[in-house]
Amino acid sequence: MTGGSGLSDEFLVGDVLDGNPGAFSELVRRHQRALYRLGLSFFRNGDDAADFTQDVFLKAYVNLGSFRGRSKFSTWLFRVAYNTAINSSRRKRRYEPLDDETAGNGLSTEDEHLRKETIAALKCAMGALPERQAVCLDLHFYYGMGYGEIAEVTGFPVNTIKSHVFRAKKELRISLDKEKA
Amino acid sequence: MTNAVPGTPYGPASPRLMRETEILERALESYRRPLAVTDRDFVERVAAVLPYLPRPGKIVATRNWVGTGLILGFSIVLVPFGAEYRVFRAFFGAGYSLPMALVSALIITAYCALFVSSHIRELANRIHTRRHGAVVNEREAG
Repeated sequence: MTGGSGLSDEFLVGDVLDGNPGAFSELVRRHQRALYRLGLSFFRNGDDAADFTQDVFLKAYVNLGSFRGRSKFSTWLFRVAYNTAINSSRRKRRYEPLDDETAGNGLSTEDEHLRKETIAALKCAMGALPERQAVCLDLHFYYGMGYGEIAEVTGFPVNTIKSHVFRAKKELRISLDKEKA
Repeated sequence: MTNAVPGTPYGPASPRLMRETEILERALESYRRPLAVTDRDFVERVAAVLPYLPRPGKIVATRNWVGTGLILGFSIVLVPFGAEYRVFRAFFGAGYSLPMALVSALIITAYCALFVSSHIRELANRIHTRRHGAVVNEREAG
């Protein structure tokens, strides 16, 4: 990923490791939104999600030397985040797709309806999965990760992830079909 | 010549399938819309803590450490077979072997100490895993 500064994440990581901690701020700026959203889905509480986001960035900073560039920086960061969330004692509820009434601003009525249907179908699909695997669907549908990347983040086999995504898509299709009918 | 009709690898798609795909894509697109609630800035919050944390440094992979250690060990084992060693031994006598062995032992000890100190967290995690069977943030180490 390259942001406003035009430099890749991997370049910025190298910069931080070479003794320029200021470059880490740019990495925070680029990934804060995704991590905070992930935190909200896990904790369903703004304060806990904010603490989680900060925690993940600090852990990432301290362990930055162990990022070897074999995967994308965002994948590595999500792996840190996933482990932090799964091991957190503050997490009391299951992972769920995030809903926000204000998100519909600018959407047509039909698209807003589609969004609600998607969220309902994903909630249903996630509810049928073991707790630790529910996040795989959001990593694919919201964050746009490939199966290999999700496997790297969560440690689950690619085929397991593929079948979960396939089932969720099927569920979504059925739900949209019902609406059309 | 390419087939201009959109469809599947098996042939052109039916209008119903195309409509379904379009709806599914629109549904997922609407789901991916950024949420207002996620619009928070963490840059200053994180930057305020960074000066109190240990500075991250480049970490040499364990594989490289082990590889270098093996080369070092083999080199030390091979020293007595070298022509220079024989020349030095002929010149200084049997007393040359003891300091040579001490220097080799010092080098190996220093290398092992460096390895342990730079991998202390990883080693602690492994010992913890063996004793308690639980993995604590093992994957975070990358």
